[in-house]
Amino acid sequence: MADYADIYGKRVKEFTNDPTLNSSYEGQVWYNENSGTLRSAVAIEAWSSGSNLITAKARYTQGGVGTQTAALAVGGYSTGIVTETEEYNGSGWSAGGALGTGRYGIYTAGTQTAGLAATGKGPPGVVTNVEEYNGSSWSEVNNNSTGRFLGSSCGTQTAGLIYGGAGPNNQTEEYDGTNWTNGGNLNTARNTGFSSGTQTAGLIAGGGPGSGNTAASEHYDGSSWTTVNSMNTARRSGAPSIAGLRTSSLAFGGFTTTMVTNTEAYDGTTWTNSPTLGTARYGLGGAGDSSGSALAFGGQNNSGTTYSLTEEFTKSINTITGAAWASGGNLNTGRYGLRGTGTQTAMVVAGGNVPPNSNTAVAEEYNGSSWTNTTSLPAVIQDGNMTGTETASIYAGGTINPGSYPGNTNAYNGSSWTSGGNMNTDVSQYGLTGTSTAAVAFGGYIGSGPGRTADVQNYNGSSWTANPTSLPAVRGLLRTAGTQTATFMAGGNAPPGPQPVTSFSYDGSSFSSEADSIVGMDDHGAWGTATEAYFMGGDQPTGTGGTGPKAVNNFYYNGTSWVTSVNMTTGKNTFGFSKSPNTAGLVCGGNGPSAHMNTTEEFTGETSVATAKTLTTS
Amino acid sequence: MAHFIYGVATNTGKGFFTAEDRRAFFLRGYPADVWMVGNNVSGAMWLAEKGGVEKTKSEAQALIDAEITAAQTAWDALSDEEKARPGNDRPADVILP
Repeated sequence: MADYADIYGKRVKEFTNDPTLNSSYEGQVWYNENSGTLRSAVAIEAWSSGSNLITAKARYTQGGVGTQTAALAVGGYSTGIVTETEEYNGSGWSAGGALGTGRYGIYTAGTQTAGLAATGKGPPGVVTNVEEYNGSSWSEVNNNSTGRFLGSSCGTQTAGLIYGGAGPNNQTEEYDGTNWTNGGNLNTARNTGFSSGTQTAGLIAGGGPGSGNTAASEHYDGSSWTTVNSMNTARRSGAPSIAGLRTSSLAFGGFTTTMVTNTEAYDGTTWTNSPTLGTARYGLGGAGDSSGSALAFGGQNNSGTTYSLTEEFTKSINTITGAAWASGGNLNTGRYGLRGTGTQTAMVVAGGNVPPNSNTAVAEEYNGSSWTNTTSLPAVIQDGNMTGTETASIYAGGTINPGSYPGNTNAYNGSSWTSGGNMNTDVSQYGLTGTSTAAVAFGGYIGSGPGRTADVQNYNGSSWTANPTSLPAVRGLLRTAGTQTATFMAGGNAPPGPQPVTSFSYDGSSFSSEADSIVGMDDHGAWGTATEAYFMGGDQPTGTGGTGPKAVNNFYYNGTSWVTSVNMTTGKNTFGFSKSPNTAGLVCGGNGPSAHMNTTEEFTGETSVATAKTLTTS
Repeated sequence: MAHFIYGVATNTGKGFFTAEDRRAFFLRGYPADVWMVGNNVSGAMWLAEKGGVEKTKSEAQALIDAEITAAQTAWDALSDEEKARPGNDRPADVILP
């Protein structure tokens, strides 16, 4: 029997334990002394769920631009023609600049900060408008020659290529960043083919017309198209890793005689079947820069339902586990208007509203799997706030249904409550960060006069004092994340206006305006830090781009901008939530499918871990 | 094939749905213990394993309507002071998408 070294020209290294893995170990084999096994880092290909497009912008036949971690969704069709652009940063979508001319079946190329959008079908019909994107806004540039839609494209903002289209069309046009010139015609006229590559090394594969799909592939060399090996499955209206070279390209989804999940990788010569999409669809958008890194978004199903679903395709030695919500243990007392503090595995909640419509003093502790009653608050109350840890926290403020605002503070040590000082301004439904001995309260509802306040109050463990600064705006029902000296806050309300999208940071002495949230929200949940926080559920008015009352939507703030995250399973408002300083948190109770919910949902953020496999002979 | 299946199942707490479930199929909870579940093998298996009773979309909507109507009736009976309390809006109709 030949030795490994004789076959491969290398010896198998011997390690006491697996080495710290990185991409250089892909395909390497080593011997693990401790386990007595041959080990290897094997790349795994898979689609995983990503955060949805902004829900109100579910769309199909949109353009895709860029890579898996820096993509654009451009135009398309939702309930009408879409002008909006959305930007993906690898974890969620946020709003970008709107097209000057809304359209679908658009031809796109380039990058997230240097994008190109040409021709397509707009409200007046097919247009020849061309626009360039600079990372924030679109600018009109020279029109292309032939108006068309539902074709293919690749390249960059300064070396773009558009080809094919409805008809079917066989024409090619080249763009040099200023002017358009005609290129060679496709051998097979077609619409909605898969495309990638560059202006001098382009690819088209598959496509329609509707009367019969083709699997034919062609290469472009800068002047003419040549037929090459066909795809395995003839289909149209799928999406490509549009920003990749044609020697490392991915084609996914589409329509045969029905919507499909098929994914095929192309190495410049041969098409190979790859792991399939999680959700079959066609008319979806695509981005990505190789056959190992792609993004699928939007699209529709056979009955015309439009999707906002996003999926990421990754080939890596890392095992990536997407963020997700899971059910947690049920509260012993179902309620809304409860408040909590602590983490996903060590949390306390107290107070709230219980059936039919009265307040409770019941407090419960969570250990990561179940809730256990602990000593009740000294008072029945709802809609106050808590901060600190499970074993060192305060519950302050709140309201006794239907309208008393006592402003009491009670400190909890993990087993019993002791009274603290009264709030300077008696509030309910306010923001609170910090510890049991160094906390800061923001705004809130005061039940008289203007109803809401901009007051800021400090707590030192025994008494409250008025902070000399005020919130930039009067606001109740806002939510906060962070510490006493580094807080981020978003949402809230100040009737008669709609829930604002403005957000603020606080450094312990002053406020700064931060990026607008994607939708307005109040009565929601939040946890994290001033630079990494999640805001979820509550009421997200449709007038601000939200889905309405008792939303499921979850948003992530990265210290600079907002993106969508994975939605909760059940919509609700007025719920309890952890004050975790990391991505893992929970929500519990609230007013949702029932007015006094007892259920819990736990959130875990995305993880990526390099994983070695044991080699066996079977 | 319908995109979703509908069923009635009681959320029993921890483990009722897992992060793996949420990654494997669409899941959304509604009033009256109604669940809208992605119509794939994983989704159908989940509903069966949870002892769920499958409903048509119209049956599921009727259950939701009854629950919401009862909640609206209860809210209408509140005093004006209670109705005005922030966050205590009248329960809105819920329409399955």
